[in-house]
Amino acid sequence: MLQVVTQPQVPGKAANHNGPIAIRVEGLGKNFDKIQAVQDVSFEVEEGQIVSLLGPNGAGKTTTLSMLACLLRPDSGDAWIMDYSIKTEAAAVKQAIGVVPQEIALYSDLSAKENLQFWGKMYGLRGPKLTGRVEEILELVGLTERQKGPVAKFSGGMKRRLNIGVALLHRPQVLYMDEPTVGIDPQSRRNILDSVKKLNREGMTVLYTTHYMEEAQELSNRIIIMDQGKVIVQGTHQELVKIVGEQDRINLTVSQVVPKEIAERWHALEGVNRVSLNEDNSLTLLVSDSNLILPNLFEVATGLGARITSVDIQEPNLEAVFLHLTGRGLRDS
Amino acid sequence: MRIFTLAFKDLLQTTRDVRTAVFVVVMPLLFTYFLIAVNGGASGSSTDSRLALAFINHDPNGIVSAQFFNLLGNSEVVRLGVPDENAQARISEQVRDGTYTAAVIVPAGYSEQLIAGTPVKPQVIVDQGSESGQSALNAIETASDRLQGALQTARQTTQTFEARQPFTDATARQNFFNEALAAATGAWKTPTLTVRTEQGGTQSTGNQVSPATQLSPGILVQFVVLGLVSICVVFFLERKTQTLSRMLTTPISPLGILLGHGLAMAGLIFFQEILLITFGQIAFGVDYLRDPLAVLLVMVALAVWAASLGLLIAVFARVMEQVVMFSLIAMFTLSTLGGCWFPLEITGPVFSTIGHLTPSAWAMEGFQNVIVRGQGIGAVLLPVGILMAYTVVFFSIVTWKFQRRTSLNMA
Amino acid sequence: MKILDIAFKDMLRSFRSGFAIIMMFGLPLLITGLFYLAFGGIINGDNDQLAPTKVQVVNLDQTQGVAAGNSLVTFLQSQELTKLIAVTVSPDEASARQAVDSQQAGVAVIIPANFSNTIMDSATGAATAVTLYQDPTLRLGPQIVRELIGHFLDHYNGSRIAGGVLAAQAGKYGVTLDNTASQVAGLEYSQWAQTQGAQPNQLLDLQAPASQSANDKPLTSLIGSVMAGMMLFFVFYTGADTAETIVKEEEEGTLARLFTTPTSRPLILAGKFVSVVITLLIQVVTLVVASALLFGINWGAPLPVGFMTVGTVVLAAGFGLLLISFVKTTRQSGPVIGGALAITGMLGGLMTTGFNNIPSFFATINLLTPQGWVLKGWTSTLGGGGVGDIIGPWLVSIVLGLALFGVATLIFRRRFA
Repeated sequence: MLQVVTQPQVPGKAANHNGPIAIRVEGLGKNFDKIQAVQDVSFEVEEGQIVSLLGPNGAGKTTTLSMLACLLRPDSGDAWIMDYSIKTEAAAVKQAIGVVPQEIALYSDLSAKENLQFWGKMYGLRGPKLTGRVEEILELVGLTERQKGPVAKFSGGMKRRLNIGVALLHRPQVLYMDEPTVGIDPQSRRNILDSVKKLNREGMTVLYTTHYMEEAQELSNRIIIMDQGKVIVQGTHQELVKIVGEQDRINLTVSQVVPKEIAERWHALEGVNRVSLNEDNSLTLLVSDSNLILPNLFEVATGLGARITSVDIQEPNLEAVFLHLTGRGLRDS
Repeated sequence: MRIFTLAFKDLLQTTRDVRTAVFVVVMPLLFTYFLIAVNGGASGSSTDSRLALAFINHDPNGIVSAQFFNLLGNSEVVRLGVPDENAQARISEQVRDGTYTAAVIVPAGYSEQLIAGTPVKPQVIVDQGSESGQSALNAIETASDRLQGALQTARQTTQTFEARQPFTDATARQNFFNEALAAATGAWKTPTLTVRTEQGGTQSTGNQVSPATQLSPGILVQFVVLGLVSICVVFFLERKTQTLSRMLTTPISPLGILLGHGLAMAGLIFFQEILLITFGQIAFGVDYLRDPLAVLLVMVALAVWAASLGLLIAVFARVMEQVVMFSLIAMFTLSTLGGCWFPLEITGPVFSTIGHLTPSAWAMEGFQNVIVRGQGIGAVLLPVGILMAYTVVFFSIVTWKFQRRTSLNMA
Repeated sequence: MKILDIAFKDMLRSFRSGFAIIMMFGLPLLITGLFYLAFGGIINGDNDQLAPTKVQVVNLDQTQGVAAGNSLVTFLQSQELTKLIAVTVSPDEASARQAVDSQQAGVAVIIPANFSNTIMDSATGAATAVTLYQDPTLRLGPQIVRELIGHFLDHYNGSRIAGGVLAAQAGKYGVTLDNTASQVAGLEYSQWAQTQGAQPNQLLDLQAPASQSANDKPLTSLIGSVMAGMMLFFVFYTGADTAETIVKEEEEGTLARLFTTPTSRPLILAGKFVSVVITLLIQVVTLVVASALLFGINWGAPLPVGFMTVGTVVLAAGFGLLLISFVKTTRQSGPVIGGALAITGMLGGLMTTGFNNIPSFFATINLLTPQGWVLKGWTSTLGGGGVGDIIGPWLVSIVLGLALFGVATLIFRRRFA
C-alpha cells in the first residue's frame, strides 16, 4: 500500500546548481552479509552548503558517512570529495575531510592539548604550524584554560567540543558530523548547532547526519531523507514539505474504542488522505484542511461511542514528509 | 533477607564473568596439579625418591676409590649412577640441569696417594644453594668421613700388627692393609649406633613428606586472594556506577550492603576451597578428611577473612585496574610471606617472623595442623581465632572507608 | 614519522598508567625481592642466619661410669652449637614427644637406655639407635640435628670398628693380642678422629655446577633464576597488555577516527608494534639493571645479554599481538591474557625457576612454549654462557616472534579490512 519514493521527485532540483560540487555520490551501495545497509545512494553537496542526512536509526546514514570517510569500502558506486574518488584516492579524501564521530573518540587519559597535538600530527601538521593550530582550536572550543587536564575529568559538553575541535585541526574543506547531538543536554546541543552554523558561515561544507528533523530543518540548505538504506527524497526544506502538499497533520488519542476500527471509518471520510496507527494506540492523520475535517472526525467518533481525549494539529513539516513517504513516523522506526 | 538477595545477585553476576571460571577454577586446579607434579609429588611412593649421584672414577683399579663407592652405596639418601664417557664430559651441565643432584669425581692415583698419606681431594660438583644439593653433599661428606676413618683403621691396625709380627715383604704388608681397609668399610655398612627418624603426625614413617602437603594448601591460600578479583569487580562497578546510590535509596542499610557483598565473596571462596580440597584429597591423597570438622572450620575462617580482604580492596580501589593490581600484590605478598610456596622454616629469621604474623601463614598453619601434624579440632582453634581477628580489623576499616566514601550514617 | 607519533602516544598512555608501571616493574621486582628477603644470607651456606631449631633431649641412658648418653647431651648443649640448636632437657620421652606435637620443639632426641652399654659391649655386636622425633612440617632443622648426632655417633662407631678390625685381623693371622689391645685401638682411633673433627670439610673439593659461574654465590644464583622467570612472565604480560591498546582504541572509537585521517592502516598497526617493542625494550633493560643493582644479579656478558634482550622483546611483542588478535573486546582480554600467559608461562618454566630437582623431561616441555625458549637463553647468560650458547634459543625467539607477528598482522588486516 505504501509507495516508497526511490528517485528524487523534487521539481527544479537540477536548477539549484549554483556553485562547485564538494561531494558527489553516485550509486553508492554496501552490504553486510545479506543485509543491504545502503542501496544505490546518490546525491550532491555544493561547496559552502550544510546538507543533512535525515532518517531514523538504521536508515543507513552512518554507513553512508563511513564510506564517504573511506572507513568502509563501497560494494557498488563511487563518490568524489573535492573531486577525489573515495575508492582510488582515499589519502587525498582523508586530507580534505574532517570527521566528528558520534561517540567521543578521544584519549581520555591524555590531556586536551596532548589529544590535539596527536591528532594534528595524524593529519600531517608539524612544528609551529601544529602548535598554532592547537592553540587556535583550544580557543575555538573554549578549552584554553583546561588544556592540561586529562579528558577523563571533562564534563560531557567539554568532551563534545573537543571531539569536534579535533576534526577541525587541519582546516578541512568538508566536515562530516555523525549525529553529534545524540544524548546530550539542550544547552550543549544549542552550542553545537551554533558552532556548525558559524563554521558554515566561514565557508565550510558540512555533511550532517541526524534523526532530529528540527536540527535538519534549522541547519540545512538541503536535506536528504534516508530510510532502509535508500535515499527516499532530497531537496530544500520548502521543496520537501511541498511533497506533502498543503496537508496538515493531526495526532489524536481516542478511548473506549478499538483504534483500528475508528481508523478505517476516518480513512473513508473525504479530505482524509492517510491514517496511521501509532504504537501507543494514538492515530496520525494527513488531511487537506484540518478546520474542515475535525467536526467530521468527532462525529464519527461519537457515532462509535468513542471519546477523543487529545488533539494536536501540525502544519506540514519533515516529519509529515517522512510519514507521507514511508507510512511511519521518524522516531518510531 | 535483603543481604542474601544482594549476595545472590553478586554471585549471579560473577558466574556470568569468564574471569570467574579462569581464576576460580581452571588456574588454581592447573597450578596445584602442575606444581605438585613438577616437585615429584604426583608419582606413586613406589618410585625411588633418592637423589641421583654421579660417580666418576679416574682411579678405576684403586682399592680406596672402590671402598668410597661402597660407602656411598650404603647411603639411604643417594642413588649411585655411573655416567658413560659422553655424559662424563658434560657432567657439570648435567648437575645444573638436574639429571644428577651431585657428582663425585675421583682423580687418577687417588688410592695410591691416600695410602701414601698424601692429601688428595675428590671433586664434588653440587649446587649447595638447593636443599637437595645440601642433602646429597651431607651424604657424600658422611661417606668421605667414614672412608677416612676406615683408612685410619687400616693404617693403625697394620701398624699395631706389624709391631707384633713384622711382614715378610711389602706386598704382604699391602695385602694386610687392603684386607683391613675392606673389613673396616664393610663394618661401616652396619654401624652399631644409628639415628632413626620418626615423623610426627600423619607421616609416622620415612623421611619424606609429600610436597603435596605443602603445595595443596599453599596454592589454595594463594588463589583465595586471586579468586576474589571477579567478585570484587562486581562490587567495585556498583560503587562506580549509579547502582550503589540507587541501592542506598532502598531500605537496605549500608552495613547490610557490605555484609551482602561480603557474603557473596565468602560464598565464592568457600566453593573454590571445596573444589581445591577435594582435588588435593583425591588426586594427591592429602588427608583433609582425617578431621573434616577441623578442616571445615579453617575453610570457613579463611573464606570469611578473604571476603573482608576483598571488601577492603573494593572500597580502596579508585579505578578498575587497581582492583586487579591490589589483588595481585596482596596475592604475591601474602603467599610468599605466608609460606604458601615454601615453608617459612627455611627462610631467614626476620622474614619468617614477619611471615608468621600474616593471616595466610595462620591459614596454612590451620590446614597443616590437620593434614600434616595429624591433630584435631583443638589445634585449629588458634589459627581460626587469629583469622577471625583479622577479619574484624579488616571489616572495621572497610566500614570506616565505605562510610567516608558514601558520607553515610552507617547505623 | 607518523609511526613514531602513534608509538609515542601509546607509550605516553602506558607509562602514565600506574597499573602498567606496577605490572611492568613493580611486581617482578617485588616477587624477586620477597625471595631475596626470604633466603638472603641463608643459602649462601651460612646456616647461622637460620633461627636455631628447638630441640628436646631425653636421656634414657642412666648408666653409671662412662655415660655416653651424658656425653651426647653435653655435646648438643655445647657452646658452638647454640646458633644452630636450642636444647632443652626433657624428663621423659612422652613429654618430649608432646613438645614436638604442640610445636614447642621442632625435634625430640631420644637417647635409648642401652646406649652406653651398646658402646661398651663390643663382644655381642648388638646395635641401637638414637630416635629423632620431628615436626613433619620441618625439613632443615631436623636435618641439621640428624647430621650433628650422626657425626657424634660415627666417632664411637669408628672406635668400635677400629677395635673390631684389629681383633679380626689378628685372629685371622694367628696373632694373639692382649685384652686391652682392642680398647687401645679404639682409643687411638678416637684421638685421631678428634684431630679430624677440628677441620671439617677439608676432604672434598667442592665446585658449583657449570651454569652458576656468573653468579658464584648460591643466593644470587637462585635470585637470578627467580628474577629471570618473573621478568619474562611480566614482559610477556606487558607485550599483550600494550598490544591490547588496539582493542581498547577500537572500543574508544579512536581507532575508527585514526582510520579517517590520512594515515594508512598498515602504518597504524606498525606504530602499535613499534610502541610494544620500545615499551618492552625499556622494561627489559630497566629490570635487568634494577635487579643487578638491587640483588646483585650478574646477568652475564654484555653481548649475549644484548642478544637475549632483543630476542625476548621480539618474541614477547609477537606473542602479545597474536593473543590480542583473537580478542574482540577488552572485557575478554583479561581472562585471555591472564589465562593464556599463566598457562604458557607455567609450562614454559617461568614459575618454577626457583625450584630444584625438576624432572628433566620438563625442560623439553618448556620448549613447547615461546617463554621456554627465551628462558633457556637467559638461563645460559646467567650461567655465564657466551653468544655461542644462546644463539639457538635466540634464533628461535627472533624467527618465532616475527612469524607470530606476521600471523597477527594477517588476522588484524582481515579484521579491519
